[in-house]
Parts: sequence; C-alpha cells; structure tokens
Amino acid sequence: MNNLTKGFFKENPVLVLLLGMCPSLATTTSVTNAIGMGLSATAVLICSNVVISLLRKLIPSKVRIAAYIVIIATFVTIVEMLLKAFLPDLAESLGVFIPLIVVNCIILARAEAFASKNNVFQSFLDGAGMGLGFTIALCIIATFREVLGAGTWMGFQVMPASYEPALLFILPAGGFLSLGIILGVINLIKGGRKNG
Amino acid sequence: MKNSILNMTLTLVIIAVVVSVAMSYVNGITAPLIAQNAAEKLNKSLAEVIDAKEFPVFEETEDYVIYEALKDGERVGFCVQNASSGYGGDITLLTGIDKDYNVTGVALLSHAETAGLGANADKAEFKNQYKGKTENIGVVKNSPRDNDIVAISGATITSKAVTNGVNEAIRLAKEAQINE
Repeated sequence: MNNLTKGFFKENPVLVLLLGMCPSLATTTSVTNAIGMGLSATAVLICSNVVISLLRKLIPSKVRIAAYIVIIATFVTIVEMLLKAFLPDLAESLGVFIPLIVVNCIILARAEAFASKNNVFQSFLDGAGMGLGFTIALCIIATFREVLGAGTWMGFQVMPASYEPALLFILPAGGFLSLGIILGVINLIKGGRKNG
Repeated sequence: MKNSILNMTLTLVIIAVVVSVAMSYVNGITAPLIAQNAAEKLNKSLAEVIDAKEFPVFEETEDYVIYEALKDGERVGFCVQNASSGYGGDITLLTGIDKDYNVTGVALLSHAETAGLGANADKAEFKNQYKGKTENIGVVKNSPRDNDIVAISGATITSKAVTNGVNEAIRLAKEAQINE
C-alpha cells in the first residue's frame, strides 16, 4: 500500500523529487490541461511499469534503457492516438506535450528505479501512485496559475469580475514563480530542511 | 550469456515487433475516428463562418483550399482555408467571405498558441470582430477605426497572424471570383 501512497506526498514526483519539471511548467496554464496531462502520463506510467516489470528478467541489462524507451514510446503513441480519436479538443490543447511524455523523466525514472526491480503488482501500484501524485502536483500548480492568471478554475469564473487577471502567471515566467512558491510552501510544511 | 550480442539483438527485435503490431492495431481503430473528427470539425466550422448549406471544393492547392458556399443551389460566397504563421506555429484558419468581399465569419481549425493569451483568438469576442470587415483589415491596440480589429492584449503576434490570414483569404476569394 505504501508503494501507492508514497507518490501522493512523501515522494511526490514533482513537488518532492523534482522530476518532470518541463511538462509541469508547460501544461499547467489551465486546470483542464493539467488533469489531461496528468492522467495521460498516469496511463503511460502504469502500462510501462507493468510491462517493464513483467519483462525485467528477460531484458539484458546492457540494452535495458533502449528497451524501456521503445516500450514507453509505444504507450505514449497509443495514448496520443486514443486522445485524438476520442478527446480531440483535449489532444489539441495539450499539443506537443503528449508525444513529449516519452521523455518525461518520471516515467523512465520509475522504470529504472522501481519497475525493473519489483514485481508486477508493486510496480502497478507504484505507477498509479506516482502518476496520481504527478496529476495532483500539476493540478496544484495549475490552480494557482489559472486563478491568479485568468481568474477562472477549469474555465469557470471564480474571481470577482472586477479582478484584473495577472497575465504573468499564465506566461512561462509565472510557471517558474508558481513552482518556486509552491515548493517553498511544501518545504515549510515538511519543516525538514535545516536552516542555512 | 544474457548480455551476448545475439541475445541483446533478439530481445530488442522481439520487443520492436510486438510493439509495432500493437501500434498498428490501435492505429487501425483510431485512424478512421480521427479522420471523422477532422471532417466533422471542418463541416461545423464551414457552416459557422457563412450561412450556407453546401460547400463543394472550388479550388485546392498546397497552401489553401477554397470552398464555394452554396445556399439553395446559389452561390452566396466563399470559404477559404489557409494557414498563417503565429506565435506557436501555423494557425489554420477558415474565413467566410460573401460576394462583396465582406467577412462573414472566422474559425480557427488548428493552432498552437499560448493558452490564456494567444489561444484567446479562438474565443467569440475576438473572432466576431472580423464580421463585416473587408480588404486590408488593420490591427490596433485600442480605438479601432472602421476596418480595424483590436488585438488581444499580450498576444499581438497571434492577432496579427490571424488578421494576415483573413486578409489573404479575402484576396484569394476575390481572385477566385474575378478569374472565373
């Protein structure tokens, strides 16, 4: 069970392990995008973790990275085709970031650090936990940015009409600012960091 | 043994073959759906930009497609599909133009503009500005004159790109009508 829940907070891939920064900054301009990106990555993560765990004893160690990348790329391509067929609007707004899941380091990191050493069920839990943790993190960042930057949440107006959206938060620079502030708050809550 | 060249090669080959089969299977299911989505979106957009019923292709080249807009069998104008280079890549536009070269509507078929900024070009408030405008539409930041549109704040490049696309579309429609 720990393998599932550790991804939510204790080892959250974005907020604690600081993996997958690129999509975390790029796709968090709206909560809808964040959820779409998070769940797509989760699907890929679960599938690749399970398959890599199944094959862990068969893949020669010297070509394991090549094998992992091929497997991950396959699932990403399949997810992209499914999104385009069934959720064309979401596929359009996520654009190039769906194919870029291939190089999302969270997925390769979990394959290498976990799925290649653990059994299928544990790898499944790890993939689901890390994927959902990624989704949660994206949603937190996206909520921050969308509310401040556009005055909306999932497209609904949440700020009073008189609120002038701080466009900066939608722009790339705002992504870094939001991430920095959120990481700071998380570290404050954890309180584990020594001063200086 | 496990790391012998033969074993490594074989493993990779087998993986590659299996995944190729899986992908072509999924592609077989999704490709028609993707094509259908695109066709539906095009038809919806065509009906959106000009009040007409049928849209036979009038002229098709690599860079643009001109559709004839027919209502009750009579031509009411043209729809021009063309691309204009925006902030995040090409913006594919569909512009409805009536016989007097007035814009009847604009639709964005695909774009990769920044969410929250350039992507606002796909909102009605922006697109509706083009209605009734004619040749050489200008882009201004505020106080527009008759044939100007107001740029989206923070997305001047996108606003100019859409406007260029629309101006080009008007030119193409004019050519099509005159050369006939």
